[in-house]
Amino acid sequence: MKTTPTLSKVRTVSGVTEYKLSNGLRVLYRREKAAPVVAVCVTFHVGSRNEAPGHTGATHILEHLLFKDSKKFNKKNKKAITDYLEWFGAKINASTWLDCTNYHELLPSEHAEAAIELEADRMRGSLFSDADLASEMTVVRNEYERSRNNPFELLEEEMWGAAFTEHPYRIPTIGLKEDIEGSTAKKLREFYDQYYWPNNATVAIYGDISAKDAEALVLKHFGPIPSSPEAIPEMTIVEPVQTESRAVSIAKPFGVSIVSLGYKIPEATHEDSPAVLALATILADGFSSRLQKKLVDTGLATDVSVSVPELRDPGFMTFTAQINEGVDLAKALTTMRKEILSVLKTPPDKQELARAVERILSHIAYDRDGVLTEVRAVSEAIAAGDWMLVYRAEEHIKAVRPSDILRVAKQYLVASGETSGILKNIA
Amino acid sequence: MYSKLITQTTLPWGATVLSAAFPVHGTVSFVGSIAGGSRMAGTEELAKIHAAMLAEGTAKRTKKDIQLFLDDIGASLSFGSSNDRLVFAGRVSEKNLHKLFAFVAEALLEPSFPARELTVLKQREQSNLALEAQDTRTQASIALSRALFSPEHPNYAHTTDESLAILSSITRKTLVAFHESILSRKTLIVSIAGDITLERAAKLVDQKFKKLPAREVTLPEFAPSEAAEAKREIVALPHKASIDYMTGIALGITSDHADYAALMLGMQVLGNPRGFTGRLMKTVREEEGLTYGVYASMPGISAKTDGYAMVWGTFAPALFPQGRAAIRREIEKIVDKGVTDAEVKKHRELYDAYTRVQLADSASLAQVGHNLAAQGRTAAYLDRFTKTVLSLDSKHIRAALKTYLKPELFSEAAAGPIEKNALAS
Repeated sequence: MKTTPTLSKVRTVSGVTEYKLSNGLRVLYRREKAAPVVAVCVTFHVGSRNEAPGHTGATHILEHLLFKDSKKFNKKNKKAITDYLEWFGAKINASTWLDCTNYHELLPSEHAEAAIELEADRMRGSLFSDADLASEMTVVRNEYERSRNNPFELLEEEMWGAAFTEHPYRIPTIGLKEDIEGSTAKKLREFYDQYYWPNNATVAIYGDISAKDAEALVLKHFGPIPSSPEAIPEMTIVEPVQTESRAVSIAKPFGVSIVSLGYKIPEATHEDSPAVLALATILADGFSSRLQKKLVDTGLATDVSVSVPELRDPGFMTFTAQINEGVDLAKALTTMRKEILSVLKTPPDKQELARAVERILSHIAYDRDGVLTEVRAVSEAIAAGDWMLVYRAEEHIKAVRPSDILRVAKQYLVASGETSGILKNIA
Repeated sequence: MYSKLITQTTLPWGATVLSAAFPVHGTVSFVGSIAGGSRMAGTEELAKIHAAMLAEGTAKRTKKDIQLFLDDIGASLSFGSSNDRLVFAGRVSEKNLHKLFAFVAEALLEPSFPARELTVLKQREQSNLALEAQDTRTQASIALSRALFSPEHPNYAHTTDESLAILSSITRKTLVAFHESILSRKTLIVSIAGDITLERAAKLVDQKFKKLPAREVTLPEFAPSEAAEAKREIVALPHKASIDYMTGIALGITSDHADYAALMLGMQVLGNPRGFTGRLMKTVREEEGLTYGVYASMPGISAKTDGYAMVWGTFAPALFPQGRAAIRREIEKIVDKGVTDAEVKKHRELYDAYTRVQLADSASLAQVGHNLAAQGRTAAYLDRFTKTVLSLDSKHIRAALKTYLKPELFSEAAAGPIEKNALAS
């Protein structure tokens, strides 16, 4: 027996209203009249973390295949997915990472229904076939090769592979070559049928559309989709505590030499995360950072950077430096480590922390410039476990004190949790 | 509607200030400029190096000091150049905008052009030019622009070898002389979008930039280029995997011309460069499978500069003859038969949608505001032009295409693994 779908308000935070559709779909809505456009973003709570051994890369390939035909949007009825939205002037894209997959559009507000209808249709109505997979494999292989040809990506991936022994974060989202080549439409269909359901997704609708209209469109297009017949599989693997330092070494003719140091960090929703971000910023983000002064200003490196991914499970931050020709890489690595750990003896004062906070606040604001940028930031936060992280980030970072920096440095910058990486350029 | 979104005022001493209110959590994006660029410099290389050197040091601050200052206020700032402007752009919190503008004024008033940084920048640009020499698309583009325009015209491009020679001749003295020749508050435009009012924007620009000199700056004149004869240019890069092909014609009109809107929409029907909605992608790519990308555009055109109409395609060497023939066929077809009413209706609506989607963040709003002012327009122009586009019909478009696209006068350029006589027939 069919039941009428219902949409219930859950809460309103920072101008964003959260709803729950009766089939389990979470809906986020924010009215923004600054421009006559609407951004729609569907986030599926499935990323490469959910891939079983032998099926790595499946999430990413599936993302590509969801641009092929669906029940209502296909070449036969002259409504191919990309063409259809392009005729409304839409900006369309998608992305896959460790914890989520998202599909998003920005388009004139009077065409909001086109994007909502299309996203609802491909949630359960994708018709991808072996022929679609074969035609898309050229693009997927090319992406794989490009990632392996990028020295920074290669070293980063190898370091994650060493830092994690059990958790799926050890495998890059693009997947292992043998698994990518072994993909079939049948296997991908099974993956789609496990995870692509409304009760495993969030749709964000932001822009110049009334709440009444947004609610009606959600009910009309997403409402009839049933919940998954079985529970969505949970990924339960917990990474064992790292008890000794690990090292990765690569020698390839890339034209650059790189050294990198990584440390385990808590999940994005952990109370220490804002302080970890501030610590990383002090150490390696910007021209006034400590590693910039120690490595770049002294001529050892041409560039330093830091990556602090906000993830659902405990993750891994990496400090990376591109080393000048002729510099001993082992010595450069030692200098980098010494400078990172010096924060334990010389924690930042209020001024150094304030400078880092100012930089982070700028990034937070830029992440909300326009509704498309904002829904993409929200999607990342959903992946990390809490959409409200986007709206609480400012309050959280402003609350960090110098004593917090010292505390998290002691907690996470430990030798037993370290993974080092050296990529040596060879002729 | 756009005139309500982007407002502007002129300060008593000449600067034009534009503002677009847009909620970005206490931050602003801005784009500013003074007259200059490659037309004033005489070469693109001098204009480019001059602009980049403004962030390398001032009488009061070293490059390092500047970097630390930008870090401290969480700002981004870049200097660049266009055909006729020296441009500065960036973003910062509204509360720190006054500090950033004070620095921009300092960089304009007291640049030190440090010799050491000039050497480094020139080396970096040499590396970029070495890459450019192997880039098939860039080489085809340079060859086509030289076939269509005279050396005095802003759309004429130097060869990569010429650019390298010009680059090596740039000295600190050249930069100082060029800087003095263009520095003027009278030509200043500053466009700001974000959490700011026009009143506040105008006050800040007045406070920080009024001290710039009030010099008269006149851009050099040039004669418009009209379609004359078809030329064919080949750049042989035998080790590359694919061929970039461009075919085009000088239009002899600026974007202020009465025919511009119809011609623009006709070119959009032919080969809309945004996706799959143009005829070229439907036929040459989807139906015939000859290329990955093939698009039509009108580069180098503005209210002050006459531009050209062009089609670009990339081809595997074996498919090049068919690909070239398919492009020429589609150009001839659209000129001969025109466009359908259904195509015009869809593309009119598409143009309107693009404009709206484009203005959906502060950085784009600041850029659009600046570009309008740089062409002597206000936001009301956007309203008028959109209205004009929405009123076009297939007759207007066919007439414009027939007047300006003369297939027999299209020049061609190709770069990649290609025979010398590949464009002979």
